[in-house]
Amino acid sequence: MSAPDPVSPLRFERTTGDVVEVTARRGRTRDVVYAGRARDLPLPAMGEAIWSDTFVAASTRPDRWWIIGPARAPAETAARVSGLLGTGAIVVDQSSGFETVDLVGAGWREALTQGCRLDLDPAIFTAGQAAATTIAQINVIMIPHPSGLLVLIPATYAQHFREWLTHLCGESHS
Amino acid sequence: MSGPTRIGSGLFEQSSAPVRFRFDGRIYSGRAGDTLASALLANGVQVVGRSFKYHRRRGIVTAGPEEPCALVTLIGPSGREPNRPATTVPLTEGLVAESQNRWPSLRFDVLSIFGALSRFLPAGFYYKTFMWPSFAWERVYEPLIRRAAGLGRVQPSRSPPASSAVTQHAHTDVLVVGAGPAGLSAAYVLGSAGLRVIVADQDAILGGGSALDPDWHAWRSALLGLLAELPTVRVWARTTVIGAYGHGVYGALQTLPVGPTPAGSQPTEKLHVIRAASTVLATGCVERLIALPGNDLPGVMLAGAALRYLVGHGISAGHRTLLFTNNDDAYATAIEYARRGSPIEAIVDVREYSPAADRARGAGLTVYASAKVEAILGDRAVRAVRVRNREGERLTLTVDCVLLSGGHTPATALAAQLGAELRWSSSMAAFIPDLSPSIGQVAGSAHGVCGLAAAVQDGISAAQRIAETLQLGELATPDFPPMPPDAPRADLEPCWEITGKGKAFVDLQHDVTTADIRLARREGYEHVEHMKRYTTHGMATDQGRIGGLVGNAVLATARGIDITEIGQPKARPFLETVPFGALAGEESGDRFKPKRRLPLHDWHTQHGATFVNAGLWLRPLVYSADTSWNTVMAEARHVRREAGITDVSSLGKIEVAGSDAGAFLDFIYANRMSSLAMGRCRYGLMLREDGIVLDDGTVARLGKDHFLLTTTTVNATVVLEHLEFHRQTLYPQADVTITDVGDHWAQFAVAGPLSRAVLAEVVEELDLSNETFPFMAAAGARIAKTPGRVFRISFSGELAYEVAVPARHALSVWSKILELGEPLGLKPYGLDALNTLRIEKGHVTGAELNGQTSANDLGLGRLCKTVGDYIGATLARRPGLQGGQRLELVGLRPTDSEQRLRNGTHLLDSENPTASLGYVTSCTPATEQVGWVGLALLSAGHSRVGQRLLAASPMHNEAYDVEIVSPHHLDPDNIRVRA
Amino acid sequence: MLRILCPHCGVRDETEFRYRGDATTARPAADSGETAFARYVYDRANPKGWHAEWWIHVAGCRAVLRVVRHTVTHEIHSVTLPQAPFDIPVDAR
Ligand SMILES: [Zn+2]
Repeated sequence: MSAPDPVSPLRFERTTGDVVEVTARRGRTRDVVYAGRARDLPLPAMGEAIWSDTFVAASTRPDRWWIIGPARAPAETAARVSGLLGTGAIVVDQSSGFETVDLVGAGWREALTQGCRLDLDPAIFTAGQAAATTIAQINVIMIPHPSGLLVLIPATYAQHFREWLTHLCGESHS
Repeated sequence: MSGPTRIGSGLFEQSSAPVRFRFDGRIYSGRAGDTLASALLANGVQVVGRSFKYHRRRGIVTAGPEEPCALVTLIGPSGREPNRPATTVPLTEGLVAESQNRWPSLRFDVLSIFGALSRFLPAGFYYKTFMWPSFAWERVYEPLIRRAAGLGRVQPSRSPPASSAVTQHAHTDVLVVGAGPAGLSAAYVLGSAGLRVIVADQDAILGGGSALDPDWHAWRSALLGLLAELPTVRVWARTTVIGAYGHGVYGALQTLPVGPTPAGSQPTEKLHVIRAASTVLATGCVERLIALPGNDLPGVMLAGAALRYLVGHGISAGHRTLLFTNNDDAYATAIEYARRGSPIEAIVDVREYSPAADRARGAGLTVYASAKVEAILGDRAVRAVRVRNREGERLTLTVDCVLLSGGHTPATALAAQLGAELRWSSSMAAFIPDLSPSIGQVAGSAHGVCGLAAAVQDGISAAQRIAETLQLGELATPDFPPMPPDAPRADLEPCWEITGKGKAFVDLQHDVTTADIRLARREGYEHVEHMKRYTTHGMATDQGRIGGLVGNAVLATARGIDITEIGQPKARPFLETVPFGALAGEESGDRFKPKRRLPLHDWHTQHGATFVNAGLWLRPLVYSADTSWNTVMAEARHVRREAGITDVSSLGKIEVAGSDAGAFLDFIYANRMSSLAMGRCRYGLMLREDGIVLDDGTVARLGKDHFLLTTTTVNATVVLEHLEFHRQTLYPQADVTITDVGDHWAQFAVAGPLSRAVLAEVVEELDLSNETFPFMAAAGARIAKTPGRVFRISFSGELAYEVAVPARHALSVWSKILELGEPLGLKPYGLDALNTLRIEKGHVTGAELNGQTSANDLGLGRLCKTVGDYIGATLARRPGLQGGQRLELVGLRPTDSEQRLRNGTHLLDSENPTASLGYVTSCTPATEQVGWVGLALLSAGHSRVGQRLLAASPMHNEAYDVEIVSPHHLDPDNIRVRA
Repeated sequence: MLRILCPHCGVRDETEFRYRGDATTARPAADSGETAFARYVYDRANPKGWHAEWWIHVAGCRAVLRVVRHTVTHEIHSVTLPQAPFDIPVDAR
């Protein structure tokens, strides 16, 4: 487990992005995955994440994906994803349903042992993976990347979660 | 001069600078590195508490968490913390502690009269004496017993500050419990192989037995240094594993060092929740007492504790000391006392011969072999002992301190929780645990291994056995520092009790004597679990660790059976006292549960809303600090007369899509959904499989294969799970996708006769006229330039719409509607007004959907499909749910319009008011009429409409007449909603 | 605390799951009548020993899982998806 790095204190930023929930219809998973691969929206396997220039695609449920991209006009991202993936996919705009928070700083793994029940050892959980779990009693999506962790928090819990994170980051500085 | 005193410096001493502390109001001085117990001993304080039942004077008996007597209350900035063993409290500057269970003071305890009455206070005394008359229990006996028999007092005020404890989750390959030679060695082997290892030890000083043996100091520091260099090994001192919870989960409580920052502002305890693939229990042994008359006098201490106080803290427990033992290990204490010049009067050993006795004689000590101590004499403290020697002569020796050692019992509590098999070791006279290899290994003295070098070897082989179970192959054994060999030794000879005149204690904390154990057996409590409960032997903070086996042995002797047949009481968490605050961790106060906030939370706050907790939600109750009916009714009447807007974003919202969605919803809902036309909404009623109503809401068909469901706020997660469960178990092959969109959409109800005019100002791409957008219509539209949805549904009974927009745009849309609507008369309204409006209309919510009402009971039976299967279809038709005397939904109003209603008021037949016929579920002042209206669940209620009943609330001393009416107090023909 | 091996997510704490009762029973056909449904809704074997139960991974993949668990030792024999075959061991204890 990496020790907290005094040079880069733990901090977090709210990022305004669009979130789309994609589900392959019964029996259409292969169609959807092929369509994504062909159109520059590769869809990862369960428990994994793919980072590309335009989107982050993560899967924390079988046959389902979270597509996270830059904020656009309402429902525009969803419409674009739907166009790419075709009729085999049910595409639902969740841009307002989640707040995305980017937690950066070397100490994030150690800090999150308060409240997160997953094994955060870098040998176990690292960039390229994704997990749905509970942090501080809130169901969240965790997507680690080389310099930190992207967290998707249900929007109505987001303020509570941010207050909890602020408390946590403050503690890790002291 | 007598009593304990400091005769030199100790290994655990961090500096000789004085550390001042307060005990029972007096100021004392100790040293950094002391525990509260060692500091009290160093100051010659011999009496630190009164016993539980007889209020006898008690001193410090042990040097660890097994301490039965020296319990204190710590008084800190965050409050009083009772029942802490002084033996585990690190001494800190300014520490304040009080003794317990004495009144009014430790020196003069009025209740010690109980000691004089002791022959009237046998085991089971409370049960037998205070049985009759029953009223006296509550008024007389219980307060008396509580005052007399309590341990420390819990702080009556609120819990400590939220920051006093944190919870941390940990994952490891192996958890090693105990940092003695066996535990450290196992950790070194496992950690050297790259496995993740957590070593937890309850002690501040790591090393177990190696910390107290000067010959082992070099080995100990070398090994701790090697472990510190292993990146995958974490070693936690002051960390007690408090319980095993199955599946490799352990709880461990770590006491954090108190830093220089102001007390109370940083956590003092950390609760580790550890998940381990395997475990090494190197938990060591607990020394046990010998039951003999006077064995509870201040001045009696266990031999191992005395060694620790001497080597660790430079404290001699007495000026003239006698050791009474049945084993070799205790000799180390006597030899060390003599070496440091603290006189040893004699060693009394029940055995005939041991190599240790030869070593002691070689050091110039007197050893009485094949002898015993018959009684410890003294009134306020140890004064002398009466010894019976090999020849049968009685000698009285004047001493001020008696060290006892009845042998060593492996600490089995954790192993027992893990389902360990226990085997009897005759060389230790104790049960030794063996774990199932799938759970872990026991190692060291807890495993029945004697000697530190042998413990090292046992730790190494435990590590290898774990590697084998985890299928890692044989691990390379790293180079260990050199270690001294173990001295030759002889087995102990069991010595549980020396019978004689006077009380011989087996449980010092609860004042349980050998006589109590025998009494329990005579009265039929001969099973070890029954004896425990009858006598309280082995209960409470110390769990009887130093005398538990002794008491069981006395019971076995009394029953005439072998001790191996007696069994062990079941061990459960916790292994030591755990403050509630440490279990709560940060989940207290504001962080007890997460709070859910509406997308418009800040707007509501800025506009003066008073919030109410509704489940996890914070919802605006009324837009005023004044929550009286006046303000609520002003909001509600405004909706009836003009128009209001309210935030209903907390409703559950679920999208169901796919070609089988309609059929699936027909199965989920009691009424038909597949026939719903596109662009239309329908009221939906869900039953449970037992025929009772689960939830209600609306279903809108947004596309051919696309439905949007709403649920009540409280049932949002329940309904989502209900859908997913049936989808996954009963419709696995169906083309149905369920997506929770509750947080994505903000939703507002705009209600009142002017609502159409208001919305016409902001809605584009949709004609709101009755012709094109009638009651129960649904459509996409732009609302204040934002793409969203409009539904013509009404919960208030007025002409009303609900508009939905993505929550990110909630504020701009809501603000725009109000900006354009206000000139037309639009005002916001809160949850209380919403409730008033729905009660008048006769809509049901949680009070009526209470998990006991059927569709028929609620007057909704006509909605249920008569053909086709759906959840609850069969059992909803069973006879027990039909008519009869079931509680059915009705409306009611007092005949006297001045009379208010109250929820929970019972309804009775005024001619024969002997049984409740039902009760008021919801009520409110009426908006347009004078007086109150309500909803009730009433026996055979539908047939009672028009009757007069008596409404009674004895709690409020109220009884008055009510008229039973239709629940639809307002607009029963739905003229308003269709306007 | 149970640690349940979700076939999708890996081993997770019990707190991530919601318990949903007996997984040994199957919903009767629609026309089976009240007695069959009453048995389905109310009759429970409540075994001391091996038992199959529904646990929903609500904080993870949201899969409904059939967990075969020993009600005394808490040992878990298998965790499977609803349509997968399952067996309930015979308890030798
Ligand atoms: Zn899962």
